[in-house]
Amino acid sequence: MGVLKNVVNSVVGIAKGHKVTLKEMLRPTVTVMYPQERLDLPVGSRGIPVLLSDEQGNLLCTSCGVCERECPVQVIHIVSHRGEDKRKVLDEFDIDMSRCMFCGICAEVCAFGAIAMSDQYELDDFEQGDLIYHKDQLAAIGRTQRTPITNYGIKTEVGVLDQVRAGRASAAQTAAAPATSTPSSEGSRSE
Amino acid sequence: MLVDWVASLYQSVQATFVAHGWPLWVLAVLTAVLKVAGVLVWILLNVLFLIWLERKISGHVQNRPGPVYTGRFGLLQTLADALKVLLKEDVIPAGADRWVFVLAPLVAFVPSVMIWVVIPFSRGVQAQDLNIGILYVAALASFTVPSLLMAGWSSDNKWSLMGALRSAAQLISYEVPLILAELGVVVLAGSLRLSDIIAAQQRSVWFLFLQPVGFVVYFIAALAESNRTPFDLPEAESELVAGFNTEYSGFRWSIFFLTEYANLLGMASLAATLFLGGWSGPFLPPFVWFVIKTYFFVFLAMWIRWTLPRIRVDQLMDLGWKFLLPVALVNLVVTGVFVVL
Repeated sequence: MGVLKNVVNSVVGIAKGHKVTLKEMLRPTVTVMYPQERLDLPVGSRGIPVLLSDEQGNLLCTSCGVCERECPVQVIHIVSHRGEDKRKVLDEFDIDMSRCMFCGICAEVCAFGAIAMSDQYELDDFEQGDLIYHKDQLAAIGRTQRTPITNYGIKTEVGVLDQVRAGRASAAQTAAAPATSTPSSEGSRSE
Repeated sequence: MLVDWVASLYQSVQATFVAHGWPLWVLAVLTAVLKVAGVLVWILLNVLFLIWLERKISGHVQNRPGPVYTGRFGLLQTLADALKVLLKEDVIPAGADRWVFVLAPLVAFVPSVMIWVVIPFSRGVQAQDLNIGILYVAALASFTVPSLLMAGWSSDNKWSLMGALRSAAQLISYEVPLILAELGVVVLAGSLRLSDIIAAQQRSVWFLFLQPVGFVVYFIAALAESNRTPFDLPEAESELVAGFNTEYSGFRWSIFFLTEYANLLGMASLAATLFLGGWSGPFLPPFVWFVIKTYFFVFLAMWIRWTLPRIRVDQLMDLGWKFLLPVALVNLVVTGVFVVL
């Protein structure tokens, strides 16, 4: 009888397994076809850290340098000078995204809420130098903030990173244009 | 209808040969070549589809869509893969036994094609209606052992050898219940000829209902024979890298892959012929019935593959010798007693 019971048990077990797989087979798939469609990231997911501005468009950053000191991988680079009223004026704020580890400590330690982790994460680029994001680029992304800061994170407008990158490319082109190009090639570029 | 047309075409060609006094062996060779070509095309097209189907089923079991980019529903994925595999470098390991290494895939592939000599696709559509059909299939099935042993031994690789030894043990133990289960059908039909077996099922009912135990034994043993999960110990990925075909790559590997799916198809079509009445069925054309029944078993095998985990070597032997063999023997004896009474 023991053998028979064993057989019945295994048959029942196997049948149960097949029921589960058949049910899963008939369920709709959960795959997100990534390059074509993207998941809406929750607020607080950590993409590239960006600089936030007030309503007038002025950066909230006071160039105190806490983020620069606290950054574990030391990728933040700040240059500032004293202005007329003895307040610090931010000259440069660079983040080297090739080494940034998206820990979010810069956003966490900022006493003025001037840094937030955005939802931009597709940072692939052709030049290593282009992975260093400058003050204006970080501020441009930060100005498209759509949500209040939650868990040091914000949502920004879709595609803003591409626009910032395109702006960088065109800026580089116009900078190079006077030295190298002829009028005809300039014409073709403007098309 | 198509069958009649082909038959009449053959008649008229034969008449032409006789009228012109051309030697008839030329005609025989021509028809043989055409049959082989037909079977090969059938197998290759089906294998292309089967691999796609396997990937789709495995995908959907895991809530993935499977291949989607190449062609509609990813149907051309296998074609792209085949192209990729054919373009790869042909690597033969330095320590390999060259001749045996090169021959092993062919020894594996040829029997999987030869099975189709006796499989009836439709009424009268059969390359050769051998009177020892089942015996022929059983004999060909045992060709898998030497081919895998050749592949494993010649590779000069411990994983390959382990896989080959396992496969030898597995295939020999499962051949016995497989043939005993087929014998139950033979006893009922009173013939080894596959067309007679189908005719016997048309007279009574499908042998699935008369031989339920035999069918279960046949299906389990056939899964083991075609090295499919849960009996894929010869190529157990997580233990033996890839088992007997560890050292194979590119074209030679693709032949092994082709063989695996050709065997699956052969096993399924034989199951359809022996237990579900082959091509016979109402309303639809016989060939359509044959394909439906074959693909029912193919789906069953794939469903099992993506549900059950691989079993252990000792469990494999236990299942083969201590369960399937006695059950198949008892089934055969009971069937024989009923037939005699």
